[in-house]
Amino acid sequence: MKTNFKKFFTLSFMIMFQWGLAQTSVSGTVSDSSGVPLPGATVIVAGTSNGVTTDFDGVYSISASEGDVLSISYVGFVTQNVTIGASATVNVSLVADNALEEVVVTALGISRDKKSIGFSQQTVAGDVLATAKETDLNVALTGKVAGVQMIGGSSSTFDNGYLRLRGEDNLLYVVDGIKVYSMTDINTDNVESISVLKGAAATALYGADAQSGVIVITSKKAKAGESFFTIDHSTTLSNVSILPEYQNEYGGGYYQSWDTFSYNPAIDPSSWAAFNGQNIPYYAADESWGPKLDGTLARHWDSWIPGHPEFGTVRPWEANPNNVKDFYDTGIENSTSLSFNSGGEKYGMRSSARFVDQTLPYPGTERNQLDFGINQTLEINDKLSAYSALNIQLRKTVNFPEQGYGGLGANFNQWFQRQLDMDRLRDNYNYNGGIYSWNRNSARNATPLFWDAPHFSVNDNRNTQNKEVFFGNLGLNYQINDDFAANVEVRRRSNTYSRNNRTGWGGVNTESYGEGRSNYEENEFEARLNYAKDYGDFDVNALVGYQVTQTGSTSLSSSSVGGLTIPGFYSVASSKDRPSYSSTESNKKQISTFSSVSIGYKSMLYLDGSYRLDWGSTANPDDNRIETFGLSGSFIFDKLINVDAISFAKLRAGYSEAPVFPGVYQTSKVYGTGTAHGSKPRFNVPNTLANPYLTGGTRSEFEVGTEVSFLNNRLGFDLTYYDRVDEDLPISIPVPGSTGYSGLSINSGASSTSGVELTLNATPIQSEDFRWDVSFNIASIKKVTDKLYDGINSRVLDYMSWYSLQLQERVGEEWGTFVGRAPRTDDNGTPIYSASGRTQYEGNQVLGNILPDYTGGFSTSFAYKNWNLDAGFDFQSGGLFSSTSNMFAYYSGMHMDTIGLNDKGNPKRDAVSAGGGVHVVGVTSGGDPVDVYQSASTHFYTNYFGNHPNWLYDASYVKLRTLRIGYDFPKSMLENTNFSDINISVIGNNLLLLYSNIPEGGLDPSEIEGSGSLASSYRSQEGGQLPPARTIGLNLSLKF
Amino acid sequence: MKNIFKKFSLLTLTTLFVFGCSTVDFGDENVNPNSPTNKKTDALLTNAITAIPGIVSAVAPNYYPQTLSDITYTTYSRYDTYQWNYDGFYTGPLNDLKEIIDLNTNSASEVIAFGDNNNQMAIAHILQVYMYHHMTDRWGAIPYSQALKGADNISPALDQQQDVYTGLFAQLEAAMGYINSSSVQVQGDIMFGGDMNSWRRFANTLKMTMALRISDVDPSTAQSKFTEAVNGGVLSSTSQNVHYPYLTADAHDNPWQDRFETRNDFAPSKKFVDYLTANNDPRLSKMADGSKNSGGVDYIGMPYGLEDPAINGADIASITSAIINDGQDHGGFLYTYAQVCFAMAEGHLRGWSGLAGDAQTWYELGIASSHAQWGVATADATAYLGSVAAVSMETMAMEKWVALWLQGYESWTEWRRLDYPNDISAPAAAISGTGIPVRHGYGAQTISNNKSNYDAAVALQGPDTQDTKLWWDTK
Repeated sequence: MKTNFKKFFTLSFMIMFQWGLAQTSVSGTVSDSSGVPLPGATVIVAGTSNGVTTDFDGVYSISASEGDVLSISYVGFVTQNVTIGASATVNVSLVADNALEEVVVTALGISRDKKSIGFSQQTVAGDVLATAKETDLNVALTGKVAGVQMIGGSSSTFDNGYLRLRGEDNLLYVVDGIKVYSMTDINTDNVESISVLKGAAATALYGADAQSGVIVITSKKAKAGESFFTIDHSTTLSNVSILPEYQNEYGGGYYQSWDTFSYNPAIDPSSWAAFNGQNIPYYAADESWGPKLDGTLARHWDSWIPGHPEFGTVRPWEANPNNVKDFYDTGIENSTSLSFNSGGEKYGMRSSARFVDQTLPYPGTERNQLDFGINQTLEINDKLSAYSALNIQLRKTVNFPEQGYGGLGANFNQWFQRQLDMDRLRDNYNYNGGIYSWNRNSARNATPLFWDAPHFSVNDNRNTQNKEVFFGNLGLNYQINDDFAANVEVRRRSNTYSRNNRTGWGGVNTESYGEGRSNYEENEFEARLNYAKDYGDFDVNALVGYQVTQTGSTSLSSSSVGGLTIPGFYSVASSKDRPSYSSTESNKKQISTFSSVSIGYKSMLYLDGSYRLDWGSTANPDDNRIETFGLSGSFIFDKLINVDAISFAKLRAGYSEAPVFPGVYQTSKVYGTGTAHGSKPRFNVPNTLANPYLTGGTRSEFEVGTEVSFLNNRLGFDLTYYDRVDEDLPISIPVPGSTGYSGLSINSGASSTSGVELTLNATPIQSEDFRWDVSFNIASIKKVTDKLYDGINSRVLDYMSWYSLQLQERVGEEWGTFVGRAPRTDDNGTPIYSASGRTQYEGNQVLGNILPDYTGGFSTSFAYKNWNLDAGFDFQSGGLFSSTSNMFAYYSGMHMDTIGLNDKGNPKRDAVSAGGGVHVVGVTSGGDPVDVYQSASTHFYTNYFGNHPNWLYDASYVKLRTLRIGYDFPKSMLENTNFSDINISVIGNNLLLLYSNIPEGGLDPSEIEGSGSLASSYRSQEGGQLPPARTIGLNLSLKF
Repeated sequence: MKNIFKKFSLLTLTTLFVFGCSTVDFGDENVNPNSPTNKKTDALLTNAITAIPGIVSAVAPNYYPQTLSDITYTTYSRYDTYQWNYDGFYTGPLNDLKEIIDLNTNSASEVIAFGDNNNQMAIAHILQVYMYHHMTDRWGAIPYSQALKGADNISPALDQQQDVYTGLFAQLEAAMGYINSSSVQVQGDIMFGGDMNSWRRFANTLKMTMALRISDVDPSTAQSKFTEAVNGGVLSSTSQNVHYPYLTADAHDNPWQDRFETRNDFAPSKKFVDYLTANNDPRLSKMADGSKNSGGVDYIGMPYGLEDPAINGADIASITSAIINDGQDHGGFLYTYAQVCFAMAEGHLRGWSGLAGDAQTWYELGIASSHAQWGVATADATAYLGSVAAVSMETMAMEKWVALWLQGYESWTEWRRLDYPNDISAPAAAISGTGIPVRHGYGAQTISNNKSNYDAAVALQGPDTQDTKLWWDTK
């Protein structure tokens, strides 16, 4: 015992790797019964820790002596033991085990035979995830799992992918049993496989936290008989791929005629007399309805910088079509992963480290990240074993780009002057200690009116974030006797974010500085008792468990108010007015017990039940228990129908009920506070009436599905139908504000979701040298609001801009309905205008739905000898989002559509009296005909600003997201080196948007920002989306 | 078999034991450490008063009598917004004031530390009346008698304006009845520092204003309420002008200062500037600054309501820098002595008996007070007085129009009532409505959340547009 404990601790602190100590080298090929080589088969010298895996050709090479026994195993095949004879070549042929013994990970980390599972579950292998070395787990999962919709953030920023599974978005991520706080805590290079548990029956054992689905991640661990070291490096370059269609014929201003400078001896220096009569652009305008870009000489903004060599000079007024493109750089990411793996019969240890350095196409940004992980298992004696894991992430991010309305995305696409030269903006915005913008108030007044120069935002408005993550566990397994086993485990996770941000001096906004820090942690203890026994044709597995979880968070933030007093020095202490300060804390505790039983009959019929009780501190103390249960069954019927081509067929069905606890502190009445008036504090009665009887609501879900595979797994499909009903949800019901409250929290509200999910896998071609695999998935979803409250038929989920666009729940309609104003038409469909051609609107119109009709993906891989090609596509059909960028691109005369010729053949932007303008034909509300020409600047704002249907875009798309072309060095080349595997690949991410349906162009509908002004957590609107970026690079991986 | 049975019962027993409890005591885990529960009525009062800038320093109402114009974005002055939401008053200050009243009624001993119970209630009621009065003059019918009942009435009816006025007079008189000379000073009163005499004066001035409003539709009630208010004691000098206590700190500074901090959107209208220039009114240089491009010399007003203005902001007169750069002691007036004087003059012009003085004297006092309020030297004010025409409803109304510069809602409401200036009309490029707005439309939230009551109110009051005249606006 003592020796073994010593060994355990020694191992914990040492990193070990073994070089093969040679005796003789035995090699050979492992293949299946038809002679097709099996790559990745394990070959171990029995009784030692000496093991290797076969390469792509099924070839292995291992050091062993005559008389040693080689144990060769491969998933889906019967393990074989072969004694080494005199020959140094040992070829092995393995026999397939047709019973599809795939083992998958289900709730609470329980491994089950895939065939015995009665609910919908999908596995994604770690190497599929790592195809294009995508570090964002959500983006890597795109198109791989039926029923998962991924909406990206702008890929030229640090934004993460946002996932919805069956229409719900608060998914639980679990790594080796530890619920991680954020998906970004996970090192994608360490993922062995991902098991997606979709429905409530699958997740019932996790309780309330998991009702929207769980992504169970199993980390790579050392296997017995393996000992190796890997280095994996990739370098990728990233460039902006789509930009809007800007017009380049007219420059900045509100009107096309030129203003001229008139020298005023009373206020101007005498040297300025020479400026009299010079053309002065309307600097203060942030729109592009200005003079034609015909080379006229004019005083550009940077000709007014005092002391500048070009002060006072005129330059041609001409186009700079690539100015926005020139703003962006090429982003570079370098990622290096190292891992050490060592495993024997009684122990296993893996440790890994990954270093990532990244800059974005958006300039001035940088991210450095270190992920460190170590896991180990140890058999202490034949009954007791121990395991532990530790994961640490340290991440520093400099300058998250500002998104949304007010960020540079909005500036460049919506409110800009098209003639501006980006290089001059970069070089001259900060001259001789002064800050200058293109958006000056006037020739004599340098103060910017609306916008700073873009590089002021990049260089002077900075923010920094430091993230520290720790999560880990420690556990013991004890085999009590043949039937019973016990397990205890403690887990902890802790995430700390600290950030500071500042607004620079001399810009449009008052200088400021703010900093904050927040910490989120959870400690959990769990104990389980497992029972497993066969009773004749029945095999029974049961488990009973107990869990205590304590969760807490603290956050602190403070910022300056009214400006800073010391120029160039950023600190809250130098705030002009009393700084703002806030500190919050929350705690909750949960005690749970859970049990599950599964019974199998003759390996054909399986029945599963799970039941969980949770007591939570956030609920009403007189009623704080909730029950979750799930029941599922599966019936394997391929042996009954006995068709040769069908190698496996299964029918499954399940039902589950899962309630939820209310959020923290929702049941008690408190006052809100406001910023004090001088020294007098302010309290207010909150707008939502607290409800001490609030419960959490219930979800019940029914699911039925079938899995069939043909021709020894050459073709297979998995079809699922689910129907989910949510009732008694705690919602804040809107009541008339004149009651004194805008909302009452009550338990009411019901919605139902249903959908079909299909996954198809096929291997159309499989031969000695060539193999082609395809995989396709598609899912439909329909979520409907059934009930809100008596007398209340609609509830606003999100108040959006502009002109009261809203995202609502409406009884009887699909959840997530856009409601806004639409242009009126008469009974014949003729548009109704005012007499002057202004669009007339009808409010409160239902304009469409936010959830897609179908989502899915398609992947294909080709393997020819040592070459591989993998491609991943994903698509979405239906769903809407609102675009602010294109709307203001019209409003401000920035868009291509605002120039060109009208139906008379004259430029639209010419004066109406000169034959220009845009032709508007329709009727008035009284029926009188309307046939006028509106000036372009009036038309593109008055008939398009707040024209909701025009700017609610179809989010349908098809995208080639990932591509990998790789080459495995052949074993023959590596024989005399220390390397066992070398692979070099070209990788690409976010490559091609093959289809989208955005009439005014310029946007990638698979990316909708989630942060920034106007952006919404529902991903319903972009306020100033930054462009998407395409990444291409090289990946080298070595194993030895 | 026996072994199996034993094992199963062991499992079952463990399970039952563990699953048996129905609740677990978590102690005070769920007590919110972030928000307070102590009943500080002083903090509630301060919060309610901080809602007043939204009334007295609002931008929009300055457009309707056309004293203010937009420079670049003229959609606001062309009435693009025609639905206005009153919910914020109810969920904000009105509910806070109700809380003060409830606490002083039900938990009197717990809140006496913050002031005499009756005085606290008096102030809360007076402020409620002030806000309800503001609201009914904007929308007409509003929830009043059934409002603020929380879960007890989630569908409050809208009372017609006539009933609201009746109710408000009663509430105001009852409030004044609570005022007493207790020495336990009311805390958190950032308007008058707990001085109940000031509150009585304010309440009577409010009553006087309300009485004048209904003078066309119900002259006898108007006269009696007016006389009561005057006898109860209204503002009696320019130094008693009631204005909101703005601070220099960013969180509570004059909203006009914030509006001009990084933008230049508003300017005095051409009509206003031309009128003052034509009359050689010395208040012009105190109310506005000359255009930047002329070095502050030329006073050029911004034409009102153009669709495509194309005029450079630097060529226009701007609101005086005293307001937009400092603002602490300027603007944000609730009631002024000038208003009181003009009200007295009007009472005389209407032939109401029992009022001291005469119309001309009050008229001149009002003009003088307005000049003093804007910082004009006495000599210049006197010179101007010498040049004005004799008092009549028209001249008094025009002087009032000038005097109420930047007191948006009062200015608009008095224009609606007195109908002078009578030569302004809605701009050609108006986006909504058929004329200058004479009320505000109900917000979309009311239409969707309180539909049946909304429909009932509109059926009695008239279509829910900005052109439907209110009950007291008979002319």
